Amino acid sequence: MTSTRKAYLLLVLMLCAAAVALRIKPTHRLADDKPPVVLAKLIPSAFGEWKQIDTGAQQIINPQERKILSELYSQTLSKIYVNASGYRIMLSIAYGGDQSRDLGVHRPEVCYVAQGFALSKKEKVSLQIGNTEVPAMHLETHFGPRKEPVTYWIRVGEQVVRGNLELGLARLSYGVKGQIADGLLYRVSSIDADAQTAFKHQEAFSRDLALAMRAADRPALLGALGALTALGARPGA
Amino acid sequence: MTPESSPRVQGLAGLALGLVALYGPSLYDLLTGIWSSDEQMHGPIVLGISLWLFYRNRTAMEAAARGQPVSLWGWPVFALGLLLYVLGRSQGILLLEIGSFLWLLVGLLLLLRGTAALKVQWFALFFMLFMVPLPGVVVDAVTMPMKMAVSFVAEHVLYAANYPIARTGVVLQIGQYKLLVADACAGLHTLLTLEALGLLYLNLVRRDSTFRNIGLALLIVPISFTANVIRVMALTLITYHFGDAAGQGFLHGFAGMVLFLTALLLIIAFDNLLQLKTPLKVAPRPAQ
Repeated sequence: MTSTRKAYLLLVLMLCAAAVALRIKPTHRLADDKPPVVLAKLIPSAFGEWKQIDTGAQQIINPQERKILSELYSQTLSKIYVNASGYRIMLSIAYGGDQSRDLGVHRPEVCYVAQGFALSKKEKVSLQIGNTEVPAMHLETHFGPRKEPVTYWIRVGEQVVRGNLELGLARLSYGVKGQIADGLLYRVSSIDADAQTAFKHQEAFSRDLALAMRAADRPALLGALGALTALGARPGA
Repeated sequence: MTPESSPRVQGLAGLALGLVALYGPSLYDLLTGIWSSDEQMHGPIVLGISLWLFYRNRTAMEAAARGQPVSLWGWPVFALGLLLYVLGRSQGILLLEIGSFLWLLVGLLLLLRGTAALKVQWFALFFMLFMVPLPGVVVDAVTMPMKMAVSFVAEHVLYAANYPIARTGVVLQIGQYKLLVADACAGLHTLLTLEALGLLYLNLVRRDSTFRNIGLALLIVPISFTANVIRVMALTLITYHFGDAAGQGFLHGFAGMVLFLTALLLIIAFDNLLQLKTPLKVAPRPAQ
């Protein structure tokens, strides 16, 4: 093969690769097929034994972090709830219509640490919500003397994942089908020196919230797991 | 144009066209995306320098390749490069998308000029590694301990100098100010940028002594660390003495420059120090 013919062959191969990459790049946004997610309407301000409280003092937020957050998410919501016995839970939800890799969800194990928290333990668990087991991640974080256990999960498209690997695989599984999944990060935390108590309250809170939501809204929080059949009837109802 | 150069020029133009078709969009995305952020500013600089190094060595490459056989290993390398490109580009995995550029270049060199040419260009290709965006997991894994260590050292040095400073994790509190050591201040990207800078220095200065080369390449890690500490301390002190606004101004306008100048000065200083330690070899200098 002469050098010129080889060069042309290489050119053709490169152009083909460029065309294939362009052809299979996902363009179908799953979020466009579903009713739009509006966080403020999704989450009731009182449910079960939990009531939202007003918080006077705003947390100090690193401006850099805030900028990144607003780039990644199209909507964010953060509220504080308290139950009858005075236990406080901080709820934070972020939703993005496009969760392709460059706009990915910021995982709490990274974002807490970036704000100066130390992460002492993380564990994959499943929460009992209705009669469904929901995968979630437990994190034990502390900032000086302040201990803040965290429970979170991430919904990507119809799947609920936690941790970087599961998130990447879920994203890829939609990507190779030509779909761009939307994503929602659900995070609850409480300032509590006893991590096990905190996790128990956080699970109860998440259960109460999911069961109190309108059935049509649950998939926004839990994907396929939030479907009525999967979740089962409301206990006691 | 001579009759024999014309098809060669056509071939080269064809390859250039192919590379532009593949990486033109990638470059555009990078320049409007992560390469425009503070942390990844080194990307376009590394790309520019690599291309310049490549171009600078072209005559040496042609001379080395003359009469040498091309290597058929180029085909699998080239094919792998294209495969990685398709996967990376379509799924938005930058590590694969930009990494594939290296595979492709190596494949093309092997196919068109052979192994001898690759050997001449190895540094330019190696240098390009520094522009490949790394996955967030890797960056976070290295960045966090580095930020911790930088904050720790900065705190202790300033405390020893009798400043009212305390630290919680990566948050420094000096006087009434609270400073968070951000990713951009001290992280894997800064380390990589400085390592690239140091290697470039080594390559351009072209020391004959292997001891000196390896010694400096290793020393760049602590040098980068020290430069980061100095930057964080400078920012802390400016905020303490002149206020928050001055600190932020310094951060956005000047801090990067201080970091690089500090690192460069340290590299040159260590290089000269190593020169003293290098056993004097009586090498006859070529006559001028």
